[in-house]
Amino acid sequence: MSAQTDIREVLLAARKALKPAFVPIRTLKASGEMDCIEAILTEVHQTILPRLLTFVTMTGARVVIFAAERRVYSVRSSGEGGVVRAAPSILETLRNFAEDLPSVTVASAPPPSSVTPKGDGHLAQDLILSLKAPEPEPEPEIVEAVVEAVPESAPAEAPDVQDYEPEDDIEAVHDKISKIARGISIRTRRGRVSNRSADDLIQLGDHIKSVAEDISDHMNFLDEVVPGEKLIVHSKMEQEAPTLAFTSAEEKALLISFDKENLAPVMQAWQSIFRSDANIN
Amino acid sequence: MTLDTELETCMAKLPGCVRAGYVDLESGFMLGVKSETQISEDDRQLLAVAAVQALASPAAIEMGEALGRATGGEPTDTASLFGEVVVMGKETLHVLQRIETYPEHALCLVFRSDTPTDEALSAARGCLKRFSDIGLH
Repeated sequence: MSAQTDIREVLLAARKALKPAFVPIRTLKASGEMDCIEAILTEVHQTILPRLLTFVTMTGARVVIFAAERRVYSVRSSGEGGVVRAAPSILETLRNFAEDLPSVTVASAPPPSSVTPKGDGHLAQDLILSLKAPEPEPEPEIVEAVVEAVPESAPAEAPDVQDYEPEDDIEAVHDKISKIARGISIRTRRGRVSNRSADDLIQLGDHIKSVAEDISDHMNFLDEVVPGEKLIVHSKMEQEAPTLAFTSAEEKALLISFDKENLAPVMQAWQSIFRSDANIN
Repeated sequence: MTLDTELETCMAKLPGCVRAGYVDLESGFMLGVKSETQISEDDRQLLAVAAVQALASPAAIEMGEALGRATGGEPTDTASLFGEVVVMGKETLHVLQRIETYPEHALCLVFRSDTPTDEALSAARGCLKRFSDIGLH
């Protein structure tokens, strides 16, 4: 058997094994907003094996919950909220979703092999209890994100995120690569975005707000493969498309948009900034 | 020409390359790997999952589409995909590339971090072209 045939057969077998044969769709019984959220969390409570639970209303609003062992690990909504993991944000997302009653359908499917639980998640029953409790403290998720971003070797006195001004970094980076970059945008994990130059990047900065959690996930995952600070460059399939770069440096994401042909010079320029930053730390 | 031979040839032509792998992004399987040093099963899987996460995860697809929308383009099947992801760390330089003629496959190259970036990228692209041309799929 040739290597090509061998590979093809392995792939076919793997794909066949990955395809779910049947994804059942049911309608949830709920008569009000609170009732709906409770019904959703009850679905999670009944979920032991890892599942992506997709809830859809008649108006098309959608939330996808990654659930396992009666716990919620993450919630992604079709709105602007992106992926949330903290308990208050999960409940807020579900409240917004439940406004679109009356009818909610649910589909349950095994997650792709690349989707794995992160953190401890939240027991569905605890979330149901929280529904009737007073409003929780605001934004614990931000604190969590900052802690995750600090490397183990970082000094105890991490920079105060509130004092960080993205404009300072933008000026420094912009000076070094302004001739080859179409634009630069820096987004802090507290949500502030600053941009320089290209109009397309200013728009991109807005889009990035909605996928910022995904960027964090990306960085956190890649930590296992490439530990410590890193620069990640995404380049598209088309030759003419601008390229996106971002760094895992502590609390901020740096986005640089540039033409693909400038990839090597941008990386070289960044390497000098990146290395000098690394040495300071 | 087998996948293993091709990966070996590829590594020999890439200065500073310490590991080369070939991954199916749909299944997450590492179909072949060559390494300067012994590679554990965990490391093989980690490299394969890293390629899937960086190139084909929902986050990567969403960012690709956002970039397309922000620059006025219409997301299409392949145009919105990230084809090349470079992760520059303190000790390694990872270059993860989709095979142009078969975007569901990816070539994963690991370089020492002291490898000049432009050399690594241009050599890696040459190697990728070879994989596209010979059509291992």
